[in-house]
Amino acid sequence: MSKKTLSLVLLIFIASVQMTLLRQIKFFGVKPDLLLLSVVFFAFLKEKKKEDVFAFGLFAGLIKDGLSGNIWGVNTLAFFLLISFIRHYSQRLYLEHYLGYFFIAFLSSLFIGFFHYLLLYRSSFPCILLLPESIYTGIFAIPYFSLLKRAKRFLCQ
Amino acid sequence: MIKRKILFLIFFFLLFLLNQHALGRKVEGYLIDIQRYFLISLNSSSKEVWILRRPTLEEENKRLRKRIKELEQRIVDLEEARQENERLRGLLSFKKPSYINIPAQVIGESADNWRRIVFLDKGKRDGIERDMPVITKEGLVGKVVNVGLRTAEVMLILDPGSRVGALVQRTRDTGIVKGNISSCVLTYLDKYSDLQKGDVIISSGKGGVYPKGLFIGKVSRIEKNLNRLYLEASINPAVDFHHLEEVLCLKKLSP
Repeated sequence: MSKKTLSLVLLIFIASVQMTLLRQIKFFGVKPDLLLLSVVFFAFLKEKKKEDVFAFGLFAGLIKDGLSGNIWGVNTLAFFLLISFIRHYSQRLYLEHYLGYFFIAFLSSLFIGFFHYLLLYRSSFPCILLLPESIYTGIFAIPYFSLLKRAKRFLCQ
Repeated sequence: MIKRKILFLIFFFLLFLLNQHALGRKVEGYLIDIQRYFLISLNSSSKEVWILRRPTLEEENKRLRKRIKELEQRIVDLEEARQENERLRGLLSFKKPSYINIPAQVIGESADNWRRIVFLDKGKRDGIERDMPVITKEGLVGKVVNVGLRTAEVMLILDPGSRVGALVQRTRDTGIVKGNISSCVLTYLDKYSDLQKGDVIISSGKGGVYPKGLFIGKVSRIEKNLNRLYLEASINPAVDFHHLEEVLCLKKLSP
């Protein structure tokens, strides 16, 4: 199986987890955004080629668009811009400490929220979700990024 | 570099253009169908994950502990089957003239938090069509917005894009119920309407999607503002959307 097919299957699996298992741990009516966290983590892998990271982000965005009922392109464009930003500032940003995990995930989630606000809702924007979602995604990033880092270390060995 | 930027621009332009055509819905339908197997297996295991989380009895004997675990698991399974049976009986007892019921199971929900959408395990093959009303025995759930071969996408009445023609059962005033993610809001109601807290809101049957008389919820708060043209009220939905498992899709019988 090629690397691209593998990452596509992995993304579909992550989306499925988000749509089923994470329903059980909803807090204030929101669940953490695993797809976003995966994209952020992947964008921080400095050894990965820019093209691969963007391809991963575009796949993730397309899957999220298709499985969220939103109009096509919203999440894809949001992920694309987020990756561009992270890659641009990759020399100054580090995914090293738990606090760093939290803040980067929190800010990324806020960015996605505002992007939805600008493109989709405006007046009827469910602001009530913005902070809980970002905080929950930030908290969830701590174990999730640690797990991904371990998996990466294991695969590298 | 510029060439790549232009390519990306064309890509996003085409992607947004997908929304204007039925092709976007088709792609979405295929994607949900592919996802179906993951969703069904993960949905059933998600229930088991929470069962495993329950505290086990502290026994000294390892074998007995194992046996107890097995029996506990069996009790949970039986209880699950009993509850499901009860829910299905309740669902099937619901009858709406000139409609047939197609029972379906909820296998997943929207991948993001900004929409209130759930996915069902039934699709075109089982007779599900677009714009079919979806209910439970408690009341109105939403409508089918997209259909795959073996899956369907249902927009809940909590979704910000949902609009349902509504009727106050006591006063017979009409309005529109909109979703706002966590609950519903009744709008475009006559400013001088005698709306009261606890009033029952049902579907009005106007619009052609939802049949008349489906229970939507009860008025929980009224916002009286004389400067506004219409009255607005918050509604407590009748359906518990956090524990949505089985639903009925209403198929209209051709006259």
